Amino acid sequence: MDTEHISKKIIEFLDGELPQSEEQSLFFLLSESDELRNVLKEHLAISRSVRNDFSAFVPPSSAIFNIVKTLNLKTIGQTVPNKPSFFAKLGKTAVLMLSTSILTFLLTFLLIRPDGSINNKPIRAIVQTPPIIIAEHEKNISDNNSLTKQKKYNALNVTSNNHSLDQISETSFEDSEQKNQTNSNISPVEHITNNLNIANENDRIISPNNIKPTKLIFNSYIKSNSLLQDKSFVITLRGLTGKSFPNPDVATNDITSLSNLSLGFYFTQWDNIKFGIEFGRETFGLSYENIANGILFNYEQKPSILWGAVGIDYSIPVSIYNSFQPFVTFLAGGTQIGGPLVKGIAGIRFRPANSNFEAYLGAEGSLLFYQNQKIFYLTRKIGLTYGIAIIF
Amino acid sequence: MNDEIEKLSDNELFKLLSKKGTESEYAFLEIYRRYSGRIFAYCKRFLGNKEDAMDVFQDTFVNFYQSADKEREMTNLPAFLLRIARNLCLNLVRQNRKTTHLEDYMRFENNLDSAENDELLDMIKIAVQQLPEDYREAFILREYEGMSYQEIAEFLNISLPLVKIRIFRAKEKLRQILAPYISELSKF
Repeated sequence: MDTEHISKKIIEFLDGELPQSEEQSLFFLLSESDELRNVLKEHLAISRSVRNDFSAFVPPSSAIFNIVKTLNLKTIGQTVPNKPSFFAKLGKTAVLMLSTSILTFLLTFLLIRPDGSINNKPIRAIVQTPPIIIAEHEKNISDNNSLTKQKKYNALNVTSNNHSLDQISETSFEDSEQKNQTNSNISPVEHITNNLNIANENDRIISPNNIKPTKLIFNSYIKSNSLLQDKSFVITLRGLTGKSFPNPDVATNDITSLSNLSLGFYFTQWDNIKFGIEFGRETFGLSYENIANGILFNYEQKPSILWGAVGIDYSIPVSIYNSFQPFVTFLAGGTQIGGPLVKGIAGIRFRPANSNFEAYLGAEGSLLFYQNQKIFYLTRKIGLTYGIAIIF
Repeated sequence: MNDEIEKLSDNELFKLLSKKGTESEYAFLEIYRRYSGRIFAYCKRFLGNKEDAMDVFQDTFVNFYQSADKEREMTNLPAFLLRIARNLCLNLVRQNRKTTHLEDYMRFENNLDSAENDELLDMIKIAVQQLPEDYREAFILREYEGMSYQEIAEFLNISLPLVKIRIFRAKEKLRQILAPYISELSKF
């Protein structure tokens, strides 16, 4: 009996098609030959694997919608849920990203924004002006045959507490004339000045020495230490490495050269705060249960998953050696298997003086939520991130 | 309504289809529930391309529903559906003579919803696409549709010995392709 013939019998046996009368002879041949037993093992391995091919039996959910629509089946068209819209399909991720973006922006706008004004320029200094008269001056002028003019200097808005330097320069002057007054006294004038030289109409100089300041102007500066002043757009490229929990001992599928990388686009909203979006591909360990044909299976996978997120980056206003700056980043978004995905990064940036490039290193924690058969699962991941950024 | 429909036999469901009303639509939905998996598996593994499989699968049920009133007796509903699917698959293959590129195949297969973490299974799916069409079909009918050799012979309208030969050739070819891989796996 040749091997091919016996192999044929083995296949028929495994398919339940071999007559019982031939089974005994087949078993005898198998017991005699290692090679035949290997053939049996290999066919068994193939058959067992094929029986695990459950995915082949699950048509996409959109198929029934398309069929119902094509056939114009009105009754079951109402009972079958509508075809998933764009937002239903991609949308959980998109809606999540959008809502997170809006929420983050609003929270930041309401809580963090320094002065509430619509001004994208970084605020460099705040000058506080006193609320009341800041100087008094008395002067007698005797001139019998001449007109005496008194110039009254009023400072506008002296009761307000905070003004910028620009506002102070808007101080206006009101002139009033007093004619034919002899030996008259000039009444106290109220004025605010920041150049301390005020000329009267006769070009007489009132020297600063004649002014008795009653209160000092208090200038306070809130100065940013951000390394990113005046920069508005940043592209980041960073590598990701870490360990996920669960961390199944299976091979990672779909590894490409773009795995475990992330690309981000950020714009500087204020000195230390950047907003942006980020996309990446990263390996996560997954462990979930699946019921197919009434049988519960536990699956473990380690796929390389595409993700997208909106991010807010806060550079802590502490500059170390003028080149290093700590930062924290928060990202929220979704992945190709759903989501949400949230990430937190804390690290330090290095940017040489006058350079448009920076390098950074940080610790990253991720939480990935995913769903299978209406049950949510969570994968946590911790690791390092390192990368570069180009600042425009 | 659903409970009653579920109790009906294939033949009774098929008869309801020709009435073209609410009952007909529910009967169609029940038939879809019963056999969509098998039909999709046949299309997917025969064509090896998820997009084409999806098109053929949908067309199968559309054609089935539209032609239901033309048929009077239904002795084997799944075989009837499979025949429609088969004809559509063969038409598509002959029109396109489309070969599945490995890259495309892997791309379609890589999704989380699938239970395809079995490396050997992935290799089998690729190897199946390398089989000649008639061998591949016999293998799919046997392994995925669970048909007996006799049923396959009737379905394909060929002799029983020919079925045996096709299945043997298919499985033997797969074994030869996968033997080194199985050998490696068995070491772990």
